[in-house]
Amino acid sequence: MDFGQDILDEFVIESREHFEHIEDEILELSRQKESPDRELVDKIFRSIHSVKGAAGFLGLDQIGRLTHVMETLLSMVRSDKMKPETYFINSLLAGVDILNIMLEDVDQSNEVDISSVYDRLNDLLKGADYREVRNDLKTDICLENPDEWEAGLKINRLALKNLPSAHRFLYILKYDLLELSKTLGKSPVLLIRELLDIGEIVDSKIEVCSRDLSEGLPEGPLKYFVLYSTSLTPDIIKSALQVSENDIIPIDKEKLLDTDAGSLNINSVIMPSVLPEQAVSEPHPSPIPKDRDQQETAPAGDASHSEIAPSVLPKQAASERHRSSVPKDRHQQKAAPAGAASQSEERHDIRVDLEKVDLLINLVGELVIAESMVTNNPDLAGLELENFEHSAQNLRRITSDLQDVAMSMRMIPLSKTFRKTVRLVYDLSNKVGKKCKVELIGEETEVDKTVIEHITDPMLHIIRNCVDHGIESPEERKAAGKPQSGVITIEAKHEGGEVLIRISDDGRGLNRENILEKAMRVGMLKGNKDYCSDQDIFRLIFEPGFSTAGKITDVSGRGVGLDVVKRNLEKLKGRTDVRSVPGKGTSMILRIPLTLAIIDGMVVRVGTASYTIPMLSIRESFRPDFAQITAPMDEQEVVKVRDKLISVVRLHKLYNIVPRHTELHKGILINVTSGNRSVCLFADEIIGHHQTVIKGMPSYVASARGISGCTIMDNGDVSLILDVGSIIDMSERDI
Amino acid sequence: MTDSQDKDFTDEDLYDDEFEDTQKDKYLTFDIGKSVYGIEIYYVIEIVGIQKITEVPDMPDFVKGVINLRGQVIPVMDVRIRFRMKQREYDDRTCVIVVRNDDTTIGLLVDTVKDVLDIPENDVSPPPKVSEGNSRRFIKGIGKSNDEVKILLDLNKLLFDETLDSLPNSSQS
Repeated sequence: MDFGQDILDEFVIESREHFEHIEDEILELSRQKESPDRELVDKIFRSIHSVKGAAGFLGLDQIGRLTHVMETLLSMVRSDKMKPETYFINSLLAGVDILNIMLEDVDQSNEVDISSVYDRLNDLLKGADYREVRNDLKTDICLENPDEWEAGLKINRLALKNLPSAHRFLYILKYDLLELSKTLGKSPVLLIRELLDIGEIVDSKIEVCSRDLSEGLPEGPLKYFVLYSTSLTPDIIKSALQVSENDIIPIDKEKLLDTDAGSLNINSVIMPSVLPEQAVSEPHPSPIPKDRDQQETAPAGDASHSEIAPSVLPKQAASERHRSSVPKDRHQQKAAPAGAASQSEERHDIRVDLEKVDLLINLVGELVIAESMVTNNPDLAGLELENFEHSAQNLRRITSDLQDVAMSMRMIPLSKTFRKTVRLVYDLSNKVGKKCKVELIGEETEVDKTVIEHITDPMLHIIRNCVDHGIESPEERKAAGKPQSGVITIEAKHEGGEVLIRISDDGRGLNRENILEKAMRVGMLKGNKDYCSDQDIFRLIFEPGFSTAGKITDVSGRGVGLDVVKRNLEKLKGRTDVRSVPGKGTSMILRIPLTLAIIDGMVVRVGTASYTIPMLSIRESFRPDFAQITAPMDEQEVVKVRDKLISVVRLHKLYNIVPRHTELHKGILINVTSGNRSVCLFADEIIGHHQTVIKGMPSYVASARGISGCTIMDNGDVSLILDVGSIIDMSERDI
Repeated sequence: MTDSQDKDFTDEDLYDDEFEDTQKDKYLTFDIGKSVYGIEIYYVIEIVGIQKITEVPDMPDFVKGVINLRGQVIPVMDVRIRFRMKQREYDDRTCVIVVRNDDTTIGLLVDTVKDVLDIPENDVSPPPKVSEGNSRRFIKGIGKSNDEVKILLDLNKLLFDETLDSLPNSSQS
């Protein structure tokens, strides 16, 4: 029974999932300083609570401690004892950060120094006016049952009150973990997850000497007791959790609330069996129960009054409703809607090793090639094969569907990357003393996983620039007649075979003159500056070593930055573009192919070699007339396409091949573009058009210029993929 | 699936001591011109016939290009040209010995493959101080087997020595 490490791994993965959303939720909360959304707080609370539960179970004390204090803080917001002020938010975020660090190496997490963050959170707790909370916290009720367990299950009034209002039932559940994993194959983590799906674990207890389950389970029955809060009736819970009736002890919540601190024999609070009819017949209330309304509007200070005079105005009594035990109030609380999570549509997914997915995609790629080699086999040429054609058609359809499915497995939404930016902007704007909001559009846009990995850094870089250089200080903005808080809009959408990400700010815009001056000074730009278009000038900011920031700040301005963006994008065969209007703001546009794994390309032949040119970069192909071609003195041939003069790159010269044609009008010209630049590639002829899996060049031959990879064609030959961007670079260098 | 199985197989070879022992002192021999050369069997993955080579620009002359080995694209090197010998027309006896050294899989174009020989360590003498031709720097030793002389090659030097040092070893493969 070796699942020690498995349990830990699962814990880490799950906690990560919780924290992934927590950060956004906390940031969302920071925008609701005055009236925090109860459901949001509940959500954060539940996430932290789940982690805390599991951490305690696994003996991860430090994580347990930290989550505990965070949880307590949140419960104070929940009961309106505290407002989510900036300091509060920042402290929580600091907590999440350090928890993330601990999760990185969960084995060592107990050695991590959490004192500074812990103290900070604790101080918040101390500083707060939480007399009532403190009183509630002190009311530790210890549920005793000497026959069954030694130490009691603990619950305090605060926890009791903070249970989601939909949770009408409190149970003690008994499990034998050993039995569970033997007969049902259910690991403790699985059990906990199940429990957390439909309710909350208030407290739990294992009758065993060591609590560290990562050492594996000891022999003999392993009793696990859970104080469990849920909205399910005893009937349902029996089947839902597969627990026998004897192992469920319903607890009377009201009686518990009336009890003072101290030990309590469990028998005194066992609920007389609940009639199922009663549960069903209860009317379903409006989505927002009345008492919650009251609670939200109740001034925070009032709560302490009601402590002294328990039955005054209903408004003041709102936050006291659990204790006042007025039946009507209770009724409302019971009937509150179930948690939002249970209503949202369920998504079924499994975790799969990325390597396996990649292997599958590779194999499907092979299959596509093999399929085409079979169905287009030269041996079949000229044969009338009706049945074969029919089957081949079928095979082709299935392979192509299979390919689509396989490719879609690698596609993940951009939302995770987008959410990172929210936190970044929050942190940065605090640091530089600016006010910024982030607006996200189209975060559900799906992109290949590799693409996401590569664009995260460039995106964060651009956003850093937006906050540091783009958005003005609140004073400046006021003077310019803009709202004090700047807006950074991040937008993603599919456009053709590409995904387009636009990051715009409503800041001061790029300063054409500054960029020009700087470019002239460092010698990036020569010649007459009057000839440069705005586009050309703005593109300079993507060059290495370019930074116009007056001073180097903590955030950006070391002159490394946008060139990294450009380089990263080029790796992805993506393009960058920049638009800017002085005083109105700047937009950075990133265009990236949807996937790096498949290429839609045109195959051209030069002599005996064949090359694949990505379709995305081809504008047109044509056989030129004599009249279109000009060869000036410096021998750089140019061809006139409509009104434009475009230089010609002879592939045979570039790659030292003996071509079939050397005269331009006998071969074919393919007009290709990269960004705003464009050249015409000269080849012998176009062989065809195909769509296949891109393969990287073997590292041994990766130094070939202007080649970005290779692909296997229908006939099994290897074709090299031309990298249009770097071919244009090469040709420009030659001039 | 086949080629990943192949890979797994060699991986096992690398770590299986027993296997290594049976591979010890075993050389695959092949002809280039009039001489017989040998490389340690340990590096050899498979031997395939000559197939269509796609030229790759900007390569030294001895790197002929890349071939499609059941979906895997691998570079091929003409060992003749590596030794500065005259290029010879490829025929049906021409073979590609697919070898792997660390992370590099590469095909070696040779005139023809002979057989696998057992050459114990004490039958191997150090390379001669003076030797004709350009192949000397790739020689690991001279092996004797049945009174015949086999030139044992140092694969690492054959693949990476000097002329190829300038190649950036990017991890694209």
